[in-house]
Amino acid sequence: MGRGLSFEGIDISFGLSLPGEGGWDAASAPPDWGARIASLRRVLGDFLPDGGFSSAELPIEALAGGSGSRDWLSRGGLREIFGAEATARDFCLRLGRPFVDPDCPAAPYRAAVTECRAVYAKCAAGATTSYAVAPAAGNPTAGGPQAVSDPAISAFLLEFPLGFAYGTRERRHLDRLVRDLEGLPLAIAFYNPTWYSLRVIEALREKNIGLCLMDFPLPRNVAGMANATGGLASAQGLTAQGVAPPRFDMATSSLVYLKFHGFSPARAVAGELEARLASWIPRLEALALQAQTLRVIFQGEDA
Amino acid sequence: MAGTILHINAVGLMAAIAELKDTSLRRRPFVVANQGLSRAVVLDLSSSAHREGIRRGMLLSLAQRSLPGLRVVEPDPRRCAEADELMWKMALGLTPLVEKCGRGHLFLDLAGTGRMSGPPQDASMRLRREIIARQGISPTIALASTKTSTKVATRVFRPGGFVALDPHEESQLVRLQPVELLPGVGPVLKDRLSLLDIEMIGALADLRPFEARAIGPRGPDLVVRARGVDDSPVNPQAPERRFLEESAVLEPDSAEPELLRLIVVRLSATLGFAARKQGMGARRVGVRLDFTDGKEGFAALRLPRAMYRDDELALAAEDAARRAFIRRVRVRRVTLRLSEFGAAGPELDLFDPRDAKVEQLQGALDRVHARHGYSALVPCAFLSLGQSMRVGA
Repeated sequence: MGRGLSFEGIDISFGLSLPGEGGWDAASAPPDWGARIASLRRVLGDFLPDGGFSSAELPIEALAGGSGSRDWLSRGGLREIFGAEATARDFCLRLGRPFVDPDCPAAPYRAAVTECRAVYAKCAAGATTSYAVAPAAGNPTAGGPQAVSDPAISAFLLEFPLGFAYGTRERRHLDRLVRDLEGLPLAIAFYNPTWYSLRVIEALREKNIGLCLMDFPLPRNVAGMANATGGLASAQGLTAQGVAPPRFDMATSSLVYLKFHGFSPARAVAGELEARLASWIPRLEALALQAQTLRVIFQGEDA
Repeated sequence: MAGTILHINAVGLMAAIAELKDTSLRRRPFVVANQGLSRAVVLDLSSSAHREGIRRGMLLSLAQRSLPGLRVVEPDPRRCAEADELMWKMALGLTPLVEKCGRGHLFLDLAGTGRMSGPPQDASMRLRREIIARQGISPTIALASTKTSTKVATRVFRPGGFVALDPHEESQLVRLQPVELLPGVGPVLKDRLSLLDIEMIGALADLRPFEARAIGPRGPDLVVRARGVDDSPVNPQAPERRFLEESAVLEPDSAEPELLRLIVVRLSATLGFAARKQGMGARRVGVRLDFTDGKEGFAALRLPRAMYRDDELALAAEDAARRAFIRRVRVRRVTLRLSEFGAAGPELDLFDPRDAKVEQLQGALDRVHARHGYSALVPCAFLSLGQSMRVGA
């Protein structure tokens, strides 16, 4: 393993996006999760720091939600994901349906916002050590309880599905959302291309919100986004072909959030993933001039 | 597959150079301005200053009042010119088709460079990396299939961004942007469009032909561009060095002033049409007469501004021809040359209202000529030329 991709004065880390919405537990993990991570590590090679993956993109319910998620984390969920040397130091929390659905009733929306702020406050106060990694169930030899080293929340990710096109109602919803989540490190991913206008970009920049950069496998289509966006894209009956956000890179805030979709060694043709990754190295170098925090998240299986 | 036209927009070149010289300026609001001038204006500014509401072109005193403690840096034109030149040379490493269009702005045509430089997107990334490494500035870069699309895109994804657009994405992205991002729309026209409730480029693109004409003489042209149609090529020659030339041979040779005048007018109409297609106007008109005895006469006129209308060009060409016709000898060939090109009045706002009708007529003629050829519609006077001349000989 090499020294990994790094930039002077920039907090950069690589992470994995864990599938699911509304909580996460060991049962949600695909059976061959370990093998997938090992193959991803092989593809990333020297770009990956010695510590390996150190970020995890989870649904917020994994930290805030029901007992299942907490149990999973306290049972050593991170170890299941990252291996025995789990060093995940931060979480990127994916905000779910109450946030991205403008039709969500007020009560659950308010509750979700409150919960979101509570999770952030708790993590900021260092209370996340309660999510310490314990020996994996049924494997007591794997080592004693081990605290995750200074875990923190580096980003809250809002992923707006294809059906969320630019319009008055959607703009108002976004405006309310941004107001309610002010002060949190936000990154927004728009799957619908109608949001990529100067007005929106300027507004995000003004509010110091990161515009999520996305990379898709070729040929690009959004068939795989249904899973990434909680099924909203397909649920709204949108065509999955020929619609995709533009390929761009730009920093609208000090946080740059790059998400690789369909980064699956099992499905890619030889050399495809390496080429995709290599094309981003000079782009990350350029982004590092404008950003302070870089999060590179790999979503292995989109569909 | 993204297009092959690459636009490099080193927005804030002066500010970036100031930051390189003085690293303490990084992430701080500052402006570049000539402090010594009584009515100094902001020439360039940092992104932090932009966030504070300072704008390029603002009076320095006003900017300082708006943001107390604003740092002011003197411009360094020499370093800017050097940086511009270096960027141009780096771009030439990729393709010979590099067009300069103002300081810190380049257009490149990467068509046909794949085997040498790889896919256009990768080549663009390498160039960007080189510019950052050698100059320390991070330009905005856009890759698309037309110059208009790339220009608009660099105005959206800036500063320091990169975007590669597939042809089917281009018009969609362009349509979503505010109308003032379209090249050719200035502040006054923007206000006029705003009165018509045209705020987005998409609304402009949807105008019908008669509505487009109502905006102004170049309205139809703007509407076409708003639709993402732009066939202007990347011209590696600097505008001021470009020229257009056309000649006509008289059959038989003649010293008839009226015939010579008509030929010059005819040539100026042909060249004027070619210049307007490129969005250019000439600042210099030259006429060369080859006399029957093998000698030649030449005269050129420098024009007060870039002229592009047939009537203006014809007047200047007639004048030049009169000066060139210094001998009472029959003329064999007449050559007209337009040179020292500049932008052909991209700002509709600046047109004198009394010329509006002439502009409209010119636009209508150009559309007819573009569609059916020049010979489809010519002044009656040209009919009298008959067989007495061969154009382009």
